Amino acid sequence: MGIAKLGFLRTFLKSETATSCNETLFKRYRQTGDSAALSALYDQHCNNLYYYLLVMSDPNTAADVTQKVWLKVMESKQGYQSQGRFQAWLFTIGHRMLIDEFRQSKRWQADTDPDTLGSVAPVNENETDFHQLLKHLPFTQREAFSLQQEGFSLQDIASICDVPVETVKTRLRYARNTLKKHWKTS
Amino acid sequence: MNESDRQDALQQAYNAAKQRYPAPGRIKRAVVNQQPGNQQHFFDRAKARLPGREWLALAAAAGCLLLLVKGAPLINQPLPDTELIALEVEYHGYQDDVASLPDYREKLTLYTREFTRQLDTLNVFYSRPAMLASHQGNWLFTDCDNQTITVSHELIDDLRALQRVDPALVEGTFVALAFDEQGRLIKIEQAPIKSC
Repeated sequence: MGIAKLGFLRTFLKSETATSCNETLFKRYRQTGDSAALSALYDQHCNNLYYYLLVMSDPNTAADVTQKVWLKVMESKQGYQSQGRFQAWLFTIGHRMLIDEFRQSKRWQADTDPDTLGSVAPVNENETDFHQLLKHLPFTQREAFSLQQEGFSLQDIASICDVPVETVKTRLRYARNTLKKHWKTS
Repeated sequence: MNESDRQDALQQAYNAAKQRYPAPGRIKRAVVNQQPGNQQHFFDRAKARLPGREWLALAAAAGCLLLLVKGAPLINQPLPDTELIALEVEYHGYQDDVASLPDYREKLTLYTREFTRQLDTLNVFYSRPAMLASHQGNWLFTDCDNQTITVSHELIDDLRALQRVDPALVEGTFVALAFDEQGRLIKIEQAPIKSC
């Protein structure tokens, strides 16, 4: 009987999606303050969030903002509305905190002209490092592309960046065209 | 190579790059150490070692000592000069005239500092509970009477630049809109509970 129950539990856990797993962990953390739940959530998302912030800034800023985002998550845990969108919420905080950081240090360049979409910095023709290649994209294109690689839908990206979906589509199209042009797969 | 293969190649390249730059371990240590439970560990351990009455006595003694050490200088401490001088300063003149005046530069510095401090200080006159209904473009809030409050994107940007918009806000979050005495919105923060 016990084994049968365990089998059922295992099947149930397998069918549980990553999203609901996030929600379950966060709910447990919110209700009980269980640091193991927070730690599990952190392990699941930290590299993704950090890399997104690293692509958008530099190692020091990315590390600082990553830390601030998690502290904000802990601080705002009661205000989070559970809608199966923990990851989107996390990245929204990350996006806003990064912009705040740039504004504070006067490094923010709007780069949001819908006509030009920013200009691509000169790319070394023999660029073999994809990370460096990403850095050549204008801020908004780089952000849209990174978020898409992190698995967000167009609607999610629009919500995180606070822009219309059509704008996201355009940014992604420009970003992909540039990357395809310069990224030579081995 | 077709379009789908190209997409896959970009995705693989992105993932490979991400593997090369993992988040530094110190971030996790810092985050986990900020957990309220973890900050209690020291006190919990100390509590376990000391019986209740002794613990209270120790805390009281530490409190008295702190008062003796810190309290005495506070009693006789004069008010800081900066604010008094800042209110006195109301001096106008050409740069050539005033440069030689004693204390001019110091007073001007103090005045500027005080003026900046006032700009940075929030004087919340009243606060209004609402819910963030939408944050696409202009931000829309709904208050307890179901009235819609529209806040322009530009104002949100200005408030964000001053770190006066809680970055954790999402649609459906209950907020407190803080206004100054002229009715200007000066801060948007998350409300701890549903306020309506």
